[in-house]
Amino acid sequence: MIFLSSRRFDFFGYGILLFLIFFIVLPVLTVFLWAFAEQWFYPAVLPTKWGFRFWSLVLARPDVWSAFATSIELSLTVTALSAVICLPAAYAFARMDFPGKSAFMMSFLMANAFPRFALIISIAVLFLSLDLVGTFTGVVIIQLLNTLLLMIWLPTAAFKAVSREMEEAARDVGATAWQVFRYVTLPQAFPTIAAALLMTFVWTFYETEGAWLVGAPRIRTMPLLMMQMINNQLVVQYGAVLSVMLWVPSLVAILMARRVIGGDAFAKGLGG
Amino acid sequence: MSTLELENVSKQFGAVSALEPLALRIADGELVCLLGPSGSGKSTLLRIIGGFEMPTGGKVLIDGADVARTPPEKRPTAMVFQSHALWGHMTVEGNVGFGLKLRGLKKPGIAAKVDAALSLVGLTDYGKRHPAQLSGGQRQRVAIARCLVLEPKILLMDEPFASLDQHLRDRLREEVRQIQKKLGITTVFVTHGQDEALSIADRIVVMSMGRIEQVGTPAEIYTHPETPFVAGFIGDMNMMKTTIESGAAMIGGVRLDAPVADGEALVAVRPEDVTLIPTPNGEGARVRRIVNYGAVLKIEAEAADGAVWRVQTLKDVPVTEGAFYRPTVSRHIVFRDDRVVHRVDPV
Repeated sequence: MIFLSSRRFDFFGYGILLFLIFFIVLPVLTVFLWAFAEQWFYPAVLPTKWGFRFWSLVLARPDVWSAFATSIELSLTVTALSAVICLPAAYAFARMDFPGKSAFMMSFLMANAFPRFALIISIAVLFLSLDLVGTFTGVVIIQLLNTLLLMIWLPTAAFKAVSREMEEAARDVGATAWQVFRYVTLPQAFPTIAAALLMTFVWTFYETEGAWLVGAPRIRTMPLLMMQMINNQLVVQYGAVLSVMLWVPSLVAILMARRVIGGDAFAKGLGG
Repeated sequence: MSTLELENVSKQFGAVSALEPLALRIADGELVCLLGPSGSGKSTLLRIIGGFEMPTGGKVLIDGADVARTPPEKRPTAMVFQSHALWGHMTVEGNVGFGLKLRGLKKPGIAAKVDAALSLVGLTDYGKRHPAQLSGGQRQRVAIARCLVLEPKILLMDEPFASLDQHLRDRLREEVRQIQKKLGITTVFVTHGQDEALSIADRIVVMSMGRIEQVGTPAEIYTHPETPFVAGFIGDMNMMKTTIESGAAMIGGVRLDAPVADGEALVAVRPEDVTLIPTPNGEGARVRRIVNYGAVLKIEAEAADGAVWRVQTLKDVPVTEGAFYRPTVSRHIVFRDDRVVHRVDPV
């Protein structure tokens, strides 16, 4: 009986595996293969000539390095600013009562329910009159708006999840309000906050619409550069190499996340 | 040597009165239980003593000094919370030593005190663990050690064992009582379990609807309840409405002395103060139910006037379901207008 049921399960599992391979692994694999291919002619299944030639070509381009620097600088700035603005707000949302609190919380959701592209365009038009289009500041602002939902909702939930009794117990043994926050509330909420910071960084790094509409052509981030390379070049390899390179920061981020955060932090942050 | 005095302490939440002005004096080394149903104000009172709520009026005197407006971190009180409230990101040592660290003690000093506190609660080898790796009982022990290590003047316990199973609760309660006696620490213990209060307390404060109903030793509270609420809340009690005529109440086939003015009254009789004497020919009360509790039997006997006596006897007393008995009462209390007007104790 046990054998039968486990066999049936395996069959189902293999089905899902095939589906995943076909729609996720294969496309990713193709990009990887292209990145390391110097020649790949139809109908060969694998590249006909392997090598790192396009890597050195891509890495030798100054626009790649400047885009990389721009992207890192942008992501760091946005994450830091977002933390400075949103974390105190999240704490207030979690711990204090003020009129219009729930309306405020909902407004972040509403803004995200609005068609994004239209929203960004209208902001871009506004930015045009403010002379913010094509500036680093403009891109930072638009990306900051993108991260508000994440950086307020997740940390709010995290702060809410810290039990009052835990904070009171800290007061009881002699901690001042600030020490309670520093030694109890913040460490308790930290895994989820770290998750939110990380997602903010990664989202900003990979965001294209806002960066393109507000930043182009002067501010060029990595994803924008990649789009340009894919669209305008006959050589597929440039785009493929850049994709694989772009994949590295998110991989590092995810590995770091697993160390710092632990699997249940996202679920906790979302109220699970 | 620490005493706790409450003078006219009251608490309003908006328009709702959680605590009527009340006074209470707790002697040095005493363990006092605040006992009452939920909503009786017992937890609010404890939180006022601990500094987590500001009283609307009145004084909280610890060793004569009023701390009613002092924040919890500056009070010589320590609280054990119902949910243990351990800090999950710190080890057991970290939890117990946190208060000492805040006081600026050096590491060796902290370690020595933490070890002593952990050995007091029987958790000597658990210092490096995290709360998540402990059982419910162990967590509550850590919470107790975390309080004791600070050598508070007053120890506060807010239903500390409510989430534990019966067996563990009994054991921990006994241990807490031993530790409390050994250290001679003045303790206020909130519970809604009467067994807990009766077995652990030097004195019990029975509360209801934000008021103190009665303060007394467990024996006083049990045998001489001063209000119908206390009589009904603690232990089993036959509470019977009756009319008094010419100095006596006739109820359930029993004549009970009540040398007070004629009129309505409430009579309270403990089930163990009722004895059933067999009658030959269908007189008296008919036993309609017997429940065996091992050491005792709990019996329901219906009298001719419809009144039902709840009776408790030792297990060896022969009683038969369906048979008739004459109830006799050795101890009763007569209440009128929520006060005791007459009481008969066995000679």
